[in-house]
This record gives sequence, structure tokens and C-alpha cells, in this order.
Amino acid sequence: MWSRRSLLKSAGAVSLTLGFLPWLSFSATTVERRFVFVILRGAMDGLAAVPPLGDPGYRKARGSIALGRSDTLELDGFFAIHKSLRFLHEAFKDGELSIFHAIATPYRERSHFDGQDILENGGIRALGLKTGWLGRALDSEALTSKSATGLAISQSMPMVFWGSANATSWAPSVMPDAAQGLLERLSYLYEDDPLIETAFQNALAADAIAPDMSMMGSGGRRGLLGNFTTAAKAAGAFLSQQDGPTFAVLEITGWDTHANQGTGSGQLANNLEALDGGLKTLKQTLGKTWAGTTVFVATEFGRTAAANGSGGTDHGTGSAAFLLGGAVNGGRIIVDWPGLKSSQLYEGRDLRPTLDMRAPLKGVLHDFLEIPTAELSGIVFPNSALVKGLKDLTRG
Amino acid sequence: MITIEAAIAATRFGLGPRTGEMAAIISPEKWLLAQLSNDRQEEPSLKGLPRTQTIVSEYLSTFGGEKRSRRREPTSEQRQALQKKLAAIYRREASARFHAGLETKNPFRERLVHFWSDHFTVSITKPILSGFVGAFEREAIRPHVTGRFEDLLMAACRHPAMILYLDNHTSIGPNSPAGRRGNRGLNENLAREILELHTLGVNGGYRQKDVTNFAKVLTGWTFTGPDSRFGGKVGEFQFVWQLHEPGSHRILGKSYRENGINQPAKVLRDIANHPSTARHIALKMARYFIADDPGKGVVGRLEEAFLESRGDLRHVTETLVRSPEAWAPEQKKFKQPFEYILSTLRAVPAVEVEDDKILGVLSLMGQRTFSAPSPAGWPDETLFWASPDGIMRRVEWSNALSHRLRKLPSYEDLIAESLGPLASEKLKKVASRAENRRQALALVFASPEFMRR
Repeated sequence: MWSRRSLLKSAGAVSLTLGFLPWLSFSATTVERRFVFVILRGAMDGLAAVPPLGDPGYRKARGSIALGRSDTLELDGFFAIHKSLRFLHEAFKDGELSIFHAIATPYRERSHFDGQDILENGGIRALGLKTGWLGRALDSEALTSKSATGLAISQSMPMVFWGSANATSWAPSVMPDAAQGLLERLSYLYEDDPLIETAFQNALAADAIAPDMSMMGSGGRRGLLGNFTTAAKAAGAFLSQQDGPTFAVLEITGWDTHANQGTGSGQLANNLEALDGGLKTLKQTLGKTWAGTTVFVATEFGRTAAANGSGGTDHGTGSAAFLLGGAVNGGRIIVDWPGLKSSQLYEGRDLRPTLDMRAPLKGVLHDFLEIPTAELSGIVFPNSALVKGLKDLTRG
Repeated sequence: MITIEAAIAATRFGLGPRTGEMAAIISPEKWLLAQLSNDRQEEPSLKGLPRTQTIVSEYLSTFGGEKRSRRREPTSEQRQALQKKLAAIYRREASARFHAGLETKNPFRERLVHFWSDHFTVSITKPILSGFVGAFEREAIRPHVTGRFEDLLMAACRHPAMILYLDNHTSIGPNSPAGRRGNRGLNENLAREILELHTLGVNGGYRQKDVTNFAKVLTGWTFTGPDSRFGGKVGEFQFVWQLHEPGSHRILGKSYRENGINQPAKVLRDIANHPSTARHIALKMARYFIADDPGKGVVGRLEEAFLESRGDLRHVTETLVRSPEAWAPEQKKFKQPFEYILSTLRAVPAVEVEDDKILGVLSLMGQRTFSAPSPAGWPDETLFWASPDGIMRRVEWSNALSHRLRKLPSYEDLIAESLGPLASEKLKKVASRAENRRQALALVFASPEFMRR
């Protein structure tokens, strides 16, 4: 039984009398739109996910791991999409998916960890910022005025949300719920430790509207996260509620394919299939909320154009990213293709980035979530005035 | 009377006090330093576990050896049987590691093992590693945590677990005898992570060219598979010249001439003692034990200690213990889940929790043993672990543990033995007003001072 909502309300009531709400509440939001950020940790090979089969340099550059027509589904005659991404292919045809290619964050080295930090902190240096761009977007005037909230389906807090008290994290547990009496006492005990207090209160808020995982076919009394599809299902269950979070973050690992990545089948194909299946589940679980949803799928950087000595690829630069959802003005591949001849490659080895990751993100945050440009260029993505947000990525 | 320093020694540097531990600490500094001497006994729970050589020869032979011509694709039953055997070894190892932490009388030394094991992460996220992660920690890390950094680096990089984890067994010099026969070539995974994670650090001053050249130098740096294709003893490190890229290679501005295994060994020893490595290790260690932002003073002292002693880790660790920053009363670090679970169980008399359950709880908290998400190991920042979900799991664990205790200590005793002077007046007050004895104990386990160190 869910016994926590009442505690949440009483805690909220106390705070209201003090004139402020130090932690988030899911009951107040007036935002109907939803934005989901999916982080592919480990550097997804964009040249395998969305191969440029029409580029004469493709087969030569990739060698043994080049994909053929039978490994892919057609997009526009030049680009194809890996056949494991069946749902994304359908979404493209239905106008609900835009693909960005030769895209990268401002990061130009090849460390996963710095690369992921920059993907999440929205800056240009790994240690430059210790808060996340999605957290800063959540704390923007445009969204706080509507009491928007964020939720990561995760056992820890991803950096992209760091710094915002309006973000929470949630993962299912199989341990018994703590009794009301204990929670009330802890609520009082934690008042002297703001970090723990905010986290605790935000956990209670998430629990109060959490789906019953055992009803979602994932086993156990309250179930477990298990795989990406389960996480996507949980995210969908939160987001589809009227007072659900505006932002959600999902993560999927396993993209660091240094050896035997495979072609139409194999390690990478399996991971793409997991991603595709999860995104399909997200759409299904969202139901009618899907129409007001955009999902951005991104990775920290791409992989080498050429296969390495072990049938895999090493760390590279440019990759692909996806913008998916019922609110997406899709069916487009947005790219300034740099080519794959060795003279065209970045440092002679990687797909050269021609699109800054911040451009589509700023476009979506501006058009879809109505965050003003000045705030986007100064705070959400600091000093990014020169990177213009892409227009018309979303509908309405 | 238990001093605040004794509580800090047992909590910030140890794994949380066992009953009587704090009272027995007369000089906190000496108590910690004594744990650094090299004649410490092996932890009893670690005895009798299989060696890497045994695992390779007994288990990997399921695949009929590594030689392709002789290899028959294993059936799916064989594959499953192997994975099952490896999973059984993993569970034994995870359980032994947990018991070492629970029972050790040298908790600071055990923390050093956790630190260095994480620094040289190998992870079961690559399933074949299930059989090797425990052996790696016991064989490559434990013997060297108070030795020379270059010996630790060498032991970690020579271990089959690291070679498998970072693919170096598949990296072949394009101009080596083997490379000229086939179309296989370099894999730069191990070379990059040694430079970025194990030694110089990401801003340590190397370029892509250094990574590529180091990868060439490391070709042939592998271990002997079950078929002993190039001779050698099964399951042991081996340098195979037939796979090695010939010639001189330039790394960080210095040329290394071809000299068999001495070429990669020389590079490893040079980068182990590089000033960037000293800076990288100093910051990471201070951050692990003291605070996310430990301050320039202590980091500088550790860096200097590393350089002046040519990477003597005992000297570096002693310098850490002797730094005033280490003894600041504020508990700035937030325990990682493994440390938190251990500290709760060390605080109570024997409690019947099955080892598999512990592993399950650690999974729920996002830190299943030996399963770090990447070669960078577990994140160490407070903001990562003190997540809403993370806090709620600790609350649930505190509640569950308080209900599992057969013999209930009084909350006063639990506070005195597990927190001592670290306990706030507020905690004492709240615990005294609990609804029942079990709830009082749960409040102690779930208190901020118990989650922090």
C-alpha cells in the first residue's frame, strides 16, 4: 500500500506556511509537454546506426564491418538505418523522427568520462561545470513558474540533473516500505542536512506517484529495473500522469564496441534492438501523452570511421542523434555531410562533426518548452550565443 | 572516553567501527599507520579461492582453446554451462570480499584495496570477467596497495582480467608476423585507459598520437590461452613477439626502441613515475578519503610525497594520514553503497543475512560488487550517490535490518559504539522518542551521520 502521499502533503503544508517549497511537488505542475533525454553511455557508433550507404567512401572506410542493404532499412537513398532499429524506421516514415548526423558536443578529445560530463553539463570543459544543463533548464523562470519537475529512472543521479532541487530519481525496490512513523521521524531528522533532506523529500514525491512495477510484468513485488524496456515502461508510467514530470532521463550502456561489434547481427545490433524496443515501449506506455512528447537520444561521441584490429571501432568524434516523438516535425535527416575520404575525416580517423549538439537541444527547449533564447545561451548552455538553436524541429 | 579523532579514523578511513573498535583506538594516527605495514595476515575469508591459472585452464577450455583452426563453436548448452560456472565463482568471490570487509581488523587497509581495485577497474559488465574479477583483486591489487605504484600498475596491466577487459589480447601489430598474415590490427582500448585512467589522467598531456603509439608498443602484451598457441603457461601473462609491432615508437616525446618485453615495460615504468601521474593519483586519493573537493594543500603534499618517493604508496598513504585536512570534523564524504552496507553490519552483532541477499541489496543501490559501469570505476561524488532513490534505499535497508536483528542492542549502545562523538544531539533525541526499539535502531542507521563519513 502506498502510504507516503499523506506524509508528503503534510511536509508540503509545513513548508508552505514558511513561505517556500524547498523540494519538488508533483501536484502543482501545469506543463503538459514532455521531454525525455536518453543517454547512450559508451559512445554509439553512428556510422553503424545510420550508415551513409550512398557515400562511395563508406565501404572502403569500414571494411569488414561495413553494412549492406540487407543489414539496413532505407531512409532517403543516401542514408539507411540499421535493421535493428525497426521502430525508429517506422517513426521516420510516419514523420515522428528526425535524425541528426555528424553531430557532436563541443568536446574534441576521446575520453568517455569527460565526453559524458560535457554531454551532461552542457559546457565546453569536463570540469568547467558541476551542474547539468537539464537541471538548469528545469530551474529556468519559464519552467519554475509552471512548477515543472524532472525525474531520472536511475539508482543514482545523472549529472545532467545535478544542481536542481526540482529533479528526483526513482528506481523500483524489492525491499519492504518503511513505515510511516519512521518516515516522519526521518523527515524531521534530515532537516539539518539539506542535501539529504531534499533527496529524501524528492524520493517521497516520486514514490507517491510511482507505478506498481509488479503490475508491469517485471517480476517481484515491486519489480526491478532489469533492462531498458522496463525503465522505459516506468518512465512512460510517470510521464503519462497529468501531474507527472516534464523531463525524464533514461540511460542505456553497452555502446563501447572495441571488439567484434558485428554487422547486421551481433553485439551492437543487439544493443540497438534493446534501444529500439525500449523507445517503442515508451510510446506505447505514454498513450495519448505521446502526442505532446519529444525524446532526444544522444551519445558522448562517435567511433572511428575504420574498423580496428579486433572487428570493433575505437573512440571517435562525430556520431548520430535522434529526435523522436508525437510532437516532432520529423521524417528528416538534418545533416551537413562531411564525407568519409581520409582527407575529410577529423584528424584522419573520425567522422568530422558539422553540427553542434547544443543546436537541436536549444531549438527544442526554445520552441517546445518556451525557454527564452537569452536564458538558453547564457545559463542552460553557457556562452553558447554563437550556436543558434535549430528551428521548427517540433510541431505546434 | 572516545575522541572525535578515533571516530574519524574508524569511519572516514575505516569501514565503520565494530563493537569495541573505537574504544581500543588509543592513538588514531598510529592505529591507521600500523595497518600499512606489509606483514599483515591475509583476510581469512579469502582463503581457498581459485587462482586465475586454474580458472583459465579449467573453464575456458570449454571453448576448445583459442586457436581458430582447432576451435569448434561451443553449443549453446556448453556456453550456458560455462557462464554458470563463472557466475558461481563470481558469487563466491563477491561473498568473500564482503566478508573480508565485515570481519577485517585492518579496515583502513581494506579501504585501500577498494580504492586501488576501483582505480584499476575490471568489471563483470563484460560477462566473461565474472570468473576473473575476484582473482584480479586478490592477485594483482592486494599485494601492492602499500608497495610501489609502478609495481601495482605492472601487476594490474599484466593480469589476464585486465587484458581481457580492455581487449589487448585482440590487439595485433599490423607489421608483426601475425599481422602481415591477416587483416587484424591495433585495438587502442588498453593503451588509452592506462594513460587516461591509470596513470597520467585525462589532462595529463598526452595526444592521440601517443595513444596510437602506446597501443603499438602494447601489442603482444597478452596471456596464454588454454591452447598455449605461442607456448607459455596457461592463464599466465605472456609477451608474444609474433603479435608485436616491430620498431621504435615515440611516446610523450621520448623514443622507445624495440627490445622485446622491455619496450612496453619501460614505457609503463616511465609513465608510472611521471609528474602527471603523481598529480592524478594525489587528487583521486584525497578525494576518495577526505572530500569531493579536498583542497590544494593536501593534494599538493600527496603529489610531492609520490614524486619524492618514486611512487611509494606507503609513504603517500602515510602523508595522507598525517595531513590536518584528513581530521577535519565535518563529515564531507557520502559513503558509497558497499561501504554503507558494511558499516551498518559491522555495527551490530552477527545478523543472519544470506550473502546473495546482500548482493541483491547492493544491486538495488546501484553498486553490485565488481560491476562498475565503465573502466573509470564507480563515480565518487556525493551528488551521484546521495540521489533521491539512493537515500530511500538506505532508509528501507535501515528498516529491514532493524527487523532482522535477533538480539536488539539499546539505541544508546548502538550510537555509542557506531558513531560515538559523531552522533548529533538531535539524533539522540529523535531515537529516544522512537515508537519502539527497532525503530530507534533504524533511525540510527538512516541518520545523516551514519550515511556520511
